Amino acid sequence: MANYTEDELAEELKNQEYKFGFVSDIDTDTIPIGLNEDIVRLISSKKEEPQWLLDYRLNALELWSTMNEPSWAHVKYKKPDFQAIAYYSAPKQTKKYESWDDVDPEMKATMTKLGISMEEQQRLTGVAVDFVMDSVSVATSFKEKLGELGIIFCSFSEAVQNHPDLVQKYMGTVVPTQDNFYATLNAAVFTDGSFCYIPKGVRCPMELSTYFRINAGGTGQFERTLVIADEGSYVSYLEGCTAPQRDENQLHAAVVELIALENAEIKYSTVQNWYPGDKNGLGGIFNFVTKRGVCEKNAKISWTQVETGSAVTWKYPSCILKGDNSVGEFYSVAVTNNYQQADTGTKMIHLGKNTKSTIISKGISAGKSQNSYRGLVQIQKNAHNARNFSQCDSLLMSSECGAHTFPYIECKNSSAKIEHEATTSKIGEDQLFYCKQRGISEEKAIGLIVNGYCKEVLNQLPMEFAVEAQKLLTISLEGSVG
Amino acid sequence: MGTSTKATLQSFRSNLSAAKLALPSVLTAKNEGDLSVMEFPTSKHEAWKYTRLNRVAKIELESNVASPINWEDFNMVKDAYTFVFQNTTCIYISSDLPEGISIKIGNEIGSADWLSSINESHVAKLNVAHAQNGCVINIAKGVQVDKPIQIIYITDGPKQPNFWRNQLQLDAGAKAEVHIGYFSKDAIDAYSNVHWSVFLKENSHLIMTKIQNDGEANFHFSTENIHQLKDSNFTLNTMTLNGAFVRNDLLVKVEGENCETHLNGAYVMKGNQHVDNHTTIDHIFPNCNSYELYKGVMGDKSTAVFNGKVFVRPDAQKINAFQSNANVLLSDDATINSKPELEIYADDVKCSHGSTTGQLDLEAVFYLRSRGISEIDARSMVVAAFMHDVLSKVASNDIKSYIYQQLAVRFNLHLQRED
Repeated sequence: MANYTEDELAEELKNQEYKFGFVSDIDTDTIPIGLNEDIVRLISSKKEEPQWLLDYRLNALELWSTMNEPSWAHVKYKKPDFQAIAYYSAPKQTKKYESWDDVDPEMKATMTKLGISMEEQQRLTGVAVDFVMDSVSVATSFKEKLGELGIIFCSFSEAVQNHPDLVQKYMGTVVPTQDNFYATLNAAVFTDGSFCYIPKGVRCPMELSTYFRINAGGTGQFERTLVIADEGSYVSYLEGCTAPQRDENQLHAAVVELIALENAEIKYSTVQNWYPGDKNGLGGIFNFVTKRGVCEKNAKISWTQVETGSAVTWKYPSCILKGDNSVGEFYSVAVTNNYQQADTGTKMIHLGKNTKSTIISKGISAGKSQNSYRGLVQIQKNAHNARNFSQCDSLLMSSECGAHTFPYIECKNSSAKIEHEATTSKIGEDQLFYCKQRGISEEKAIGLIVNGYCKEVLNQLPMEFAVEAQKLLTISLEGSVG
Repeated sequence: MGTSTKATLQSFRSNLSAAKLALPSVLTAKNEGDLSVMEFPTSKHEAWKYTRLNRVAKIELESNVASPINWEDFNMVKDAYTFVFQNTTCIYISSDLPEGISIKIGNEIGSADWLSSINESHVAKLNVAHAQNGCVINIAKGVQVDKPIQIIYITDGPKQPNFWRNQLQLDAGAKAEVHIGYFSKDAIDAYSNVHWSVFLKENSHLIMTKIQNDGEANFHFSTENIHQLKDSNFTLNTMTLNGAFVRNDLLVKVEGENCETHLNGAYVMKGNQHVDNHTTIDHIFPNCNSYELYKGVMGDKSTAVFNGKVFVRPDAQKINAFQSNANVLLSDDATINSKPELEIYADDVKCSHGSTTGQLDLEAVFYLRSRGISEIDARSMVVAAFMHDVLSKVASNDIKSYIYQQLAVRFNLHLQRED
C-alpha cells in the first residue's frame, strides 16, 4: 500500500473548501435592489409593521444619508455599493408555518446540512433554535415549553406584532439609531432577527440559539437581536452563522442589544463562520456588526465569540457597566486565514462602582491575513474600585500575515485598577519539536497547540458549541502551515 | 478675549518670524505649501485624540528681549561640555571641546550640514518654517567622548516663542552621552518647539537624557527623529518634571540589523498639567531588540497620555520588542489615557506590551505608617519605589541625583537616591 504522506495531506487540505458553501434551491421573495424611502416603506409594509416602527426606520434612513462610512478600522476593502443590494429576501411561503412539518423540505435539508437538524436537536439537546434564513426567521422550536415559564423567544417581527410594548421600550436603548454608520443602516432596513425576554427571577432552562444564514445572492442580511433579561433572571444565548460560497462580497450588518436588569445574567456566545472568501481573497461576507449590552446593578454580561469566517470583520461586542457591582466579560478567538481581515475587540465602559471587566482575546493569523485587536477600557470618574484585566495574545502562523493590537485605556478614577497585557509571537519551535518527536504530525501538532492556546476562551462556550468551535478552528487553519 | 474670531494655525503663525536657520530644500520644499492648508489637529485626529490644542492656538506669541542670566542656575551636571541657549541666542559655549567633536551653532550651520529627516506632524512642520537657532553636532568615527555633552535651553519672558532645531550625528563606532535640559525663566504662556534629528551610524552608542523642567505655565513640544544603522545602540530617557503642556513625539527608525533601542520615560505631574508621550519604534530590519518603559505619577487634575507603537515591517524577522507603561493616579481628578499598540507584519517575533493603572499601594503606605513613618514620608517612599525602576535606567549618577532632587523640591517627596 502506498504511503499517504504529509505532503499529500497538506495538498488535500489546501484544496479543502468551505464546508457550508452550498446554495439551497429555495424560492425566495426578493425586493428590487437599492435603498430609498420607498424600499424602507416596502420592507415595513411586507412585515405589516406598526406606524411607530416605520417612523423609526425612516428617521434612521434620514440620519444614515448624512453619515459617512467609517475608515478608522485596520481593514482594506472595496466599499459596498449600498444601492446594489437587495434589502429584503425571504424564503417564499404561502402561509405561516403552524408546525415543523409545514416547513419546506428543501429548507429542512439545508438545516440538516448545517448540522442543526431540528428534530434531532429538539429531542437530543433541548436547545431551542430560531433559524433566520436571509432576512426572515423561519422556524422557532420549543416555543411552547418556554412559554410556560413566561419566556418569550421568537423572531423579531413576531415580537413587534405580539409584544410591541417590550420592543418599543427597549429597542434602540443600547445601540441608539445614530450610533454608527452600519447600526443606523440596520435601523433603517433590518428585516428580522431574534427577540428574547426572560421574566423576573426565571432561569432559562435551556440554551437559546439562533442560526443565521445568508442564502440568496445579491442580498444583504440586516438582522436585529434584542435580549432582555429581567431582574434576577439568567439566559444563555447562542448564535451561529454561515453563508454560501459566492464570488461577490455580501454585506452583513447586524445589531445586537442586550439588556441585563438588576441581578440578571446574560451569556451570549457566537460562532461566526460566514463564508470567508476563497483562497485568493475573492468573495466572502463583510461582517460589520454592532453588539452591545448594558448591565444594571449586580448584573453580568458575558460575550464569547469564535470568529473564523467573513472576508472582513468589524465587530466590537461591548458592555456598558452602568449599575454598581456589575460585571462584563469578553472572551474571543479570532482566526484569519488567506486574505481575511479582522478588526475586532471590545469596549468596557465602567460607570458604576465596583464594576469588573475581563477581556481575553486570542488572535490567530495565517496566510496573508490581517488580524487586529481593538479595545477600549474606560473608567469614568464615579466608577470607584473598578477593576479591569485584559489579555490580548496574537499568534502568527505565516510570514506574510499581520497581527496588531490597538488597546485604548482611559482612566479617570484613582481607585481603579487596570491591567493590560499583550503578546505577539509564533508557535514555539520547541513545542512543535516536542510533539513531532513523539510521532505527531506537524498539522496535528499545530492543531493541538492552537487548541491549547484558545482553551481559556473555548472553555467559556457551552458544550456542544465548544466541540463545533474546536473543529472549526482546525478546519480554518488547515493548509496554512509553513 | 477681546475678539471672538477662531484661533487658527495661520493666525497663530502670524506672530512668528520666518526661519533664521539655513535649511536644505529637501526640508523646506513642500513645507510652506503643506502648512498653508493645515489646521491645528482636533480630537478627531488619532494622534491628538486626548490632547486639545485650543489653549495653545489662542496664545498670541511675542518675542521678548532676554535679560542677562547666570546659566549656571540651570546647570544639571558638574562636569560636561556645555552649550546654553537663552531664547534664540546661544549664550554659552564650552571652550574646551576635545578633538573629534564638531559643533556648529546658528548661522555657522550651512544648509548642506542638515541631513534629510522628515516628520509630517504640524509641530515638525512649524519647526522647519520658524527654526530660529540650534546646533549640529558631529562625533567623529571611533571617538568616545570622555564627558557628557550638556545642552541647556532657557525660555525667557512671557509668551515667548522658541523654535530650536538640532541634529546629532555619531559616526561609526562613536560613543557619547548627551543631557538636554529645557527650562524657563519669568515665562508664562511661552511656547517652545524643539526638533532633534539623530543619526547613529554603524556600531555607535548614544545615551540621550532629556529633562523637561519648563515652567508651570508653559507649552513645550518636542520631536525626536532617530535613525539607527547596523549594530548601533540607542537610549533615550524622557524625564518630564514640569510644564503646563508637554508633548513628546518620538520616532525611532531602526534602519539596520542588530540594533538595540531603549526608550525610558518618567512623568510626574500635578495641578492642571498635561503630558503626552507618543512614541513609535519602526523595526525595518531583522534581528533587533527594543525595550520601552514609561512610568507616571499623576496628581491633582493632571492628565497624561501614553501612546506607544511598535511597528514590525514585513521580513523584519527575529525582533524582540517589549513595551510597558505603568501609571499611578494620586487623585480622582487625574486622568490617564494609555494606548500601547503593536503592529506586526512578520511572524518570527516576540513582542509584548503591558499597561497598568492604579492607585498608590495603600497597604504599603500603611505598613510604613505602622512603623512610625509619617504619612508624607510613607507616601513619598512608595512613590519613589514605584518610579525607581525607570529612574534607575538613567545611567549617569549626576543626572540621576538631579532628577531626584527636582522631584523632591516639586512634590515634597523625600527621595533618597541609592548609588
